[in-house]
Amino acid sequence: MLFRKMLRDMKMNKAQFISIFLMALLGVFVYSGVGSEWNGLQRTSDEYYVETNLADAWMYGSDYSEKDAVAVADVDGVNGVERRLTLDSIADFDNKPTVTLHFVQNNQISTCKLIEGEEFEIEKDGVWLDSMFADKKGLNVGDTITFNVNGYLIEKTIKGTVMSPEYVYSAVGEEVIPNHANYGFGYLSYQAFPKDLPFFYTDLLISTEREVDNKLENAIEEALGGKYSVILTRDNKISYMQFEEEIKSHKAVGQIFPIAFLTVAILTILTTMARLVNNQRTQIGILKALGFQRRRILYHYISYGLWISMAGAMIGAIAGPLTLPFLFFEGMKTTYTLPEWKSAVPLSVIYMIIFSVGSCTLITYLTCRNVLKDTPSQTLRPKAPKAIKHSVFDKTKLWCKFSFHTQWNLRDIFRCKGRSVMAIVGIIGCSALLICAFGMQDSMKKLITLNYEKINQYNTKLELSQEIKPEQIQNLMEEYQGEAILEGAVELKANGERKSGGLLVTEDVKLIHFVDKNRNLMEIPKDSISITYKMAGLLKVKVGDEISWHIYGDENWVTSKIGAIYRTPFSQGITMSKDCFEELGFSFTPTAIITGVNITGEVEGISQIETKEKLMESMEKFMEVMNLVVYVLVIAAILLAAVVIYNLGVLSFTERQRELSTLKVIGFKTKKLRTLLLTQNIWLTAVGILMGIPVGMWILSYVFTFMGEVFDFMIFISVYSYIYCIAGTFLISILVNRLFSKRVRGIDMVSALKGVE
Amino acid sequence: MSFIEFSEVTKEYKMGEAKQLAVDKINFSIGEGEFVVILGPSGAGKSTVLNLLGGMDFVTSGKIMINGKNITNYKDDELTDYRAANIGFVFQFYNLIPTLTALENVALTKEIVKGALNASEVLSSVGLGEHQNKFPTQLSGGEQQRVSIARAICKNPTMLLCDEPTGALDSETGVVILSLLQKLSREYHKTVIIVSHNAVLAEAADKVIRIKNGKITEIIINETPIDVSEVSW
Repeated sequence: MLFRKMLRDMKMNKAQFISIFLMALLGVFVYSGVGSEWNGLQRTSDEYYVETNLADAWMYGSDYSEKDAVAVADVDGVNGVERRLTLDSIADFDNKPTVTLHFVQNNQISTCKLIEGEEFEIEKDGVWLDSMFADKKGLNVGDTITFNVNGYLIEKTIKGTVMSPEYVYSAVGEEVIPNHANYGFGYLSYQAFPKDLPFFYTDLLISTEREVDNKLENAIEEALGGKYSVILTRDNKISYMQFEEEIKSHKAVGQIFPIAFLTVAILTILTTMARLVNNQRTQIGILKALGFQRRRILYHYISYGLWISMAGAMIGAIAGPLTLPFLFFEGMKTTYTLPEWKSAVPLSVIYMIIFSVGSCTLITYLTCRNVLKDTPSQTLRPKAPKAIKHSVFDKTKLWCKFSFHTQWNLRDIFRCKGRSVMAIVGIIGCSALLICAFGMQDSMKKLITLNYEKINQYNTKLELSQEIKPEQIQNLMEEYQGEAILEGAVELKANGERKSGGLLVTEDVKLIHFVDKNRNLMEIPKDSISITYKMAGLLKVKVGDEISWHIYGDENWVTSKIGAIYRTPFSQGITMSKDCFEELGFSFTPTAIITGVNITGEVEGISQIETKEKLMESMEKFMEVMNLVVYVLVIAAILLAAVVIYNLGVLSFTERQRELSTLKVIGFKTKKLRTLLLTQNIWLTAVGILMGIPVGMWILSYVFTFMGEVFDFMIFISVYSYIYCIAGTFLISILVNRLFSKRVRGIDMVSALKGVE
Repeated sequence: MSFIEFSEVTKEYKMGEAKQLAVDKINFSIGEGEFVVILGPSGAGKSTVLNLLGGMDFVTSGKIMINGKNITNYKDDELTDYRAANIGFVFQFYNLIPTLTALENVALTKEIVKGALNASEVLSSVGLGEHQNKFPTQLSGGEQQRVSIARAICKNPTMLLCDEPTGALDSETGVVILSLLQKLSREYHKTVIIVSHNAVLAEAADKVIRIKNGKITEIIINETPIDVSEVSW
């Protein structure tokens, strides 16, 4: 019987129960959806790395002998070592794509994952080609492909298409999104190497028992007796690092937003449940007078919240992982290459369900127990209205000058503190999410203009090939009015921190400008090195401090004093003038020429042409993923605000029905009453927005710190975004208010003022 | 000893700092199967007596014996059991569960006591056989009150406590309700206690207890009560 009562009560209080259901559903949906996205990425990549036995460290040298391999393998902590010959080739296509060829020794470490064709075996001849590259070029298993290695042609049959754990992220140069038509890789057996070419192993792949630390690194160095040039751990390997950073940033976003969302959802559920129970006060009295045990009444009301929130949370937990991750995966597939994209529900979802349902049940229990505490005779009588104390406002002279509207609303807000606070919290959530969403877009756009218009003012960057002669460079510079720059990778060390970063050496450059941390143009000193703002933060150094650094491929550590700190959004590292560079004992060999001229097609001695247009295109693709996040946030914000406001509106309306009908009896017009309700709503919305904007900015800055070490995001929110956020929040608030204030017309004055029932 | 025994019962309400004496050291007794009317102006303490009797409130001092048991020492759970087993309530404003039908409201008692009567039969006996499946809001005031009485009887309690059962009804409907209550006392030997401010009921009662300002002013034992229907309204 009580079960039937429950069902009918739910039907009666449709709006509230639906909102509890929706809130539990949405909260858990977003949490589990976003959670299983990053968790899925983590799980998939971890499994992928284990399955293919991704190396823990890579060593690059010129010729590793059998003895070297054995020596490294004997180091305590090393599980296995494998040698490999890696060289770049040009495949025979019009756009001259670079294909990196790996001739492997026994295919134990960093193996490739077969997508199509036959398994890789050392005894087989042929090439196992990058599947993404094969796709772009329309190559199939069984086709032949010719690689040009410094003029020597190697022709191989494609035995299979593969993916490699070393190429999850394979963008080269300044592009953010890899272009698989320009770049690929291939796996071959060492036996497939042309017999008439000198063969030597250039790479050592090392698999270790634990993460590679300095101690292990030193032990490996020692084992090789100085015959070592570069050692890269996983954290320095671009593909691994970039993807881990990506997951990290998703995790950061994926934890703060859904938790903020879920918090508001749970708060809404709690207030709604508490109100529902309090509104059933008389009925609890009846049940008690009839002789129902406390336990049964408690159970009856607890089950209200329990089943509804449980149903919502369950559906959310199932639907989230099935939909949201794939929405994001679509965008990510253009950037990363993984054999599969799985969504994996993180364990914390279970805790979240238990937490949401548990808190809902607990609040019902507490409210119900509170009502039950009174004797049935008290419970049967309507609750004595709360004693209204005069607020501080009343005493001021100003109070008397307020209109009735203002007085009534002010009293009402302070009398129902819980409801007012909830409404404000809902609005804060909504406006904070909106500010976050718009701010993210604004900041990103601002960064792109900063990077491509203020900092890098060249239109084309010609990447020089390694064989280019100095005269050629001179000719190119004259032909295109270009400027030569040197770009490289360095390892930086200070305060016990080690980071890899970029190196930029320029000579009287006019096409690259530098900005300080407030994005104002600045000059960098000619006689000392300058470090990027983000890198300075990571290494905890300031102007005047010293840092040690070395170029990858050169073991010579240099210690320099920092002359200035500049800011750049997409690559972190150090920069210096040519003079300073040469003074430190390096020779300035340009790696690229930048020019204001637009160049397309082929240029002698140039390995790659990067145009601003293409770079911006790739940025825009990158932004598509971000836009998706923005849309999800906006929709979530709107739903959140709508449900919270509607829910509170309906509840407060029911509670104030007597008051409103009294006003109506006295002669207030329906329109006036609606205005009364609207005014209060607008006040609360305004307060919520004022508090929500700083909260949104705080969330945004928190998210930006997790965007990866390569990026230096700066918060920028345009005036339009503020306007959209404020106008949007008000619009939602007012529209929803109209929905429930419609009911004022329907108030039945007589029945509302009659008996207690 | 009588079925119900009130001795020196006092009930004090605390309203913030002010104390209000609702019932002041009252004594009375009621026998089993009696049809009793407690009369008095509003605010006299009638409802308090009924609430104390029904185990819905605690006494400040004094003793209430029901069927030889002292209920003043009962804890909350014991009081609940006492209410469930012995008492049927009829309220002025019916207090039906709005989301349950008439039949379901009555059948609710099955979940509390083991020896509950057949809900449908009880509803028919109060003349509502045809309205079993209507919700409270679809019934008139008199009909709702009959549902409420049916709910009280269905538990098969030893006594029925009625707080202004006709207070919200017109006089004709009121007579129907009161006749029903009198019939329960006479034919089924239930103790029926009615709280009212309507003095005309006095002629129909076996015993009339008059209360004023928390004190009993008069107890009248009526040797020859007349039928409710014969009372001149």
